[in-house]
Amino acid sequence: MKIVIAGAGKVGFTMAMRLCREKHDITLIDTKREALEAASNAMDVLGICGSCAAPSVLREAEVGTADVFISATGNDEANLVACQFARKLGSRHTIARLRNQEYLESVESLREIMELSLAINPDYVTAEEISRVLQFPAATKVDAFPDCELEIVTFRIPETSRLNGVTLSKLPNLISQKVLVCAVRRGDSVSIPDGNYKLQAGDFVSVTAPPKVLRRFFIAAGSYQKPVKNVIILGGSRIAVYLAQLLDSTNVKVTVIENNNARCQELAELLEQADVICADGTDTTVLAQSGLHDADGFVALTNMDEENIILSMYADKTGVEKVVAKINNDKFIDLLHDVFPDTTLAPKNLVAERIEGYVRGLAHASEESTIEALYFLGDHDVTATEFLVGEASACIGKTLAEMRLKPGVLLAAVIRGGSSFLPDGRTMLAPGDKAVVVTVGRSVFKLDDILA
Amino acid sequence: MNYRIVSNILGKVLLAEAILLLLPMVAALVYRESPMPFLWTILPLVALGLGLNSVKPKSGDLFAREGFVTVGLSWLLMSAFGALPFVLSGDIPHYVDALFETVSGFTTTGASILSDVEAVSRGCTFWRLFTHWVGGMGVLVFIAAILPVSGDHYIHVMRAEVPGPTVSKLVPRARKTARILYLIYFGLTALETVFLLFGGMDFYDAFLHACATAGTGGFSTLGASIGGFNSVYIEMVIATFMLLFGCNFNLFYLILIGQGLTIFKSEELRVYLAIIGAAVLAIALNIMHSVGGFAEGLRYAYFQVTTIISTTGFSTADFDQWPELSRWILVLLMFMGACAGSTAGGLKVSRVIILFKSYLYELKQLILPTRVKRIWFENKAVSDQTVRSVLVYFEVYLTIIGLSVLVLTLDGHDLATNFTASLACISNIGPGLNAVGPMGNYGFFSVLSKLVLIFEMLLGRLEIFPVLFLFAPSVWRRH
Repeated sequence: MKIVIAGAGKVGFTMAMRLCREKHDITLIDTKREALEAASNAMDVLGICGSCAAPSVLREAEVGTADVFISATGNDEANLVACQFARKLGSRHTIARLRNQEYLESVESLREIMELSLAINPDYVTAEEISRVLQFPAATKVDAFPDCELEIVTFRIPETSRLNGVTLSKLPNLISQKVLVCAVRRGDSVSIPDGNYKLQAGDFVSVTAPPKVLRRFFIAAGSYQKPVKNVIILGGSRIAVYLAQLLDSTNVKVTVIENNNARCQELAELLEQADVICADGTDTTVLAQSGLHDADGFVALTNMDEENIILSMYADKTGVEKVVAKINNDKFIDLLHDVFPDTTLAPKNLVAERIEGYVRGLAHASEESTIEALYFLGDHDVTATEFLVGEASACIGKTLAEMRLKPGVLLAAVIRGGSSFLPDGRTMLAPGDKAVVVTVGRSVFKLDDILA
Repeated sequence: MNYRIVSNILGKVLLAEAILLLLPMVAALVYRESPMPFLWTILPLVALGLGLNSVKPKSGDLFAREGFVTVGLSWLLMSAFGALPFVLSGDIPHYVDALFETVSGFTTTGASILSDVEAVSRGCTFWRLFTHWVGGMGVLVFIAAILPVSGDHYIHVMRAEVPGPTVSKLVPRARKTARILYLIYFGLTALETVFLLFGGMDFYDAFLHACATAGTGGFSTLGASIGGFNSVYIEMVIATFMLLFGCNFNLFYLILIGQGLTIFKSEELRVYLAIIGAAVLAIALNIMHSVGGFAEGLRYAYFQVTTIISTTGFSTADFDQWPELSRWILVLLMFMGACAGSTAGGLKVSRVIILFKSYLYELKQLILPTRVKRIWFENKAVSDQTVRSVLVYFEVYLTIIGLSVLVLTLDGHDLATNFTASLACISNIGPGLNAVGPMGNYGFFSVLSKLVLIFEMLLGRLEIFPVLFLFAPSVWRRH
């Protein structure tokens, strides 16, 4: 597909990179020539220098023939204007990045008026993701499927866990809860394990089940942690505001530490419940005074990756149970995979993943199947794709045992009429079902691609 | 440096050359000549090509450094192998001579060491003229268009091979850009072939001259070049196509996608056409008395101006006999060359425009030192980086010409011969003045001089830096 992306900043760049890898033709628009040069050196894209809110620039980028136009600059208004122009010029779908809270509150009517296909708020998406792992601290990542009671949870097996050293076929004897192990990452290699696979401490395991079952599973495995009740957030960014608001509604005590006095005043206006501390959060005394020793959650959201990394590690050492760090630099995340104790996330990747899922849905819709959602479990190699099963799919009418699946592919769950279940050998798919497919090291764009 | 990916691409280049050599082999068979010279070139090419290509890159990292090295080495290897058929067939017995002829072909220079081109076998003549077509758009661009190459960074290779101060993609994908370029190239070549067929040429001559025009090369099947056909129609067709192949190919793309009128907004194109117009008029007026009238003057002037500015180097008249003014105008055009993004050589019109604007800029800056002003080109402010690189390019260009003449003087020829030989080679034109004039050739130079000129031709075609890079130790150091 032909995709035009306005804004070659962190978010735009990451999206372009990922969509380019998916074999789409990408044109990037930015006012900064250097940003475009960096982008066209890193990937096979075309750069157009200019403001995305100017129709002449959009015409030069041939937005009129684009399948998707994504406006991902840091300026909401420019994004809205650009999307509207793009729509008028003939772009089939428009996606706007919006970060302002006021826009977020009226996002539905904005979408309608501006004819947006999708409005995405990276800060809010990040806050949601963080709040999910704070609800389920034993996991490093939690992905929830929106329309049913089903989650995919990724966690690292601790030394003390009962899972350490267990062969998968013996797992049901040990823990009666029915969960499906989708993928295991050990060191640098990821695989879909079979019954002979022996789990080890340090493995990152992704399992699927409804949340209640998962909770009982973790309790039985001896690594359950209660939802976080007392969180310290370092850095008063937009993400911090959204996160504090989300946590407030679940009665979690929130303390926000922010260095800038003016920003603190704003925070105090936005957040009714949370404690806002105006001090330098890199000072350990300040952290202690703010109640780090009583906290069971620590979220580092400053603009400096290095600060976030060091302070999270410090918090982990002082005994905080759940530590989350925002790290924008992908290379840092790769480096820290085995050292960093807990959850790391990059807002740009979260947004890019959402967009990638959305674009895949547009690009590969057919009679056989439609992509409803796409999740990346921990790293780029492992994905969970939710397919809506179409009338023409070759998967219909066969039991799972009869279907011969490709290696690296797993049917992880079936959603039927609002409830979900884990498939077994007798499971048969029907049109209208939603099938969650986990893949390792390959991409599936159509449901029938899973068949060998 | 990522040696593996360089080796992998080099392998593909050699295989592509082997495939391209099949055409002259077929021509040799058609004209009942021995195909063996080509076969014996193809076999080692395939062997070495497969060998190099079998090195699988561990990572797809391909940056400017690898791009330059790949392009530089590709052209050296291609030329080294491309010279073999001439030696094996006995048409050009000495390897250095054959290498000179091949490099002259690939770099689309058109300078020849042959005194009697009509004595060369038909298969080798085919290869001689066809090398212009291969080298014109570039073999690495060709590979991008037809073979699967890891796409993300291939633009660095294309940048190193495509002439001009900046390389702009036409469409998001490098591969598709390469395909469009070759489609335009191929289409125009076919069109010219048809036009020439109408002028009474046979297919062999028509196709080969179209190839030689397309690459802005200048080899001909006849000793008297285009003049030998003695047809005003053929002269006008070839002159017009030389003018077209000197235009930026992006403009043809704009015409293809239906934005034909916008091309005249291009500053470079307007200056290019204006210079051609002025030069044709000046030369026509200057030579009208000796050639028998203004109309005849226009005919010769149009052909000679387009052939020199597009750096092709065909000839219809011995311009070396023309008055001094006309000769010097042609020498000035030799410096300039045609538009960036075309198959032509020389400094390129866009660089010359930026050069002149920076002269004016410096003058005004002397009068009003506090003024803040940028140089504008094509309705955009040019970055200081670009201006600097243009100035450096010009300096390096002059330096190389000057130093090469120093070596050429050892042979004892006159200054005009040495200087224009050096200029005509680095600008990829072919004919110069005096001994290397349109009716002369390069055969009389010593081996050392020929090697220097070969080097100059490669420098000129690849815009100096990819070739110079090969000699910089820091490029080869492992990091």
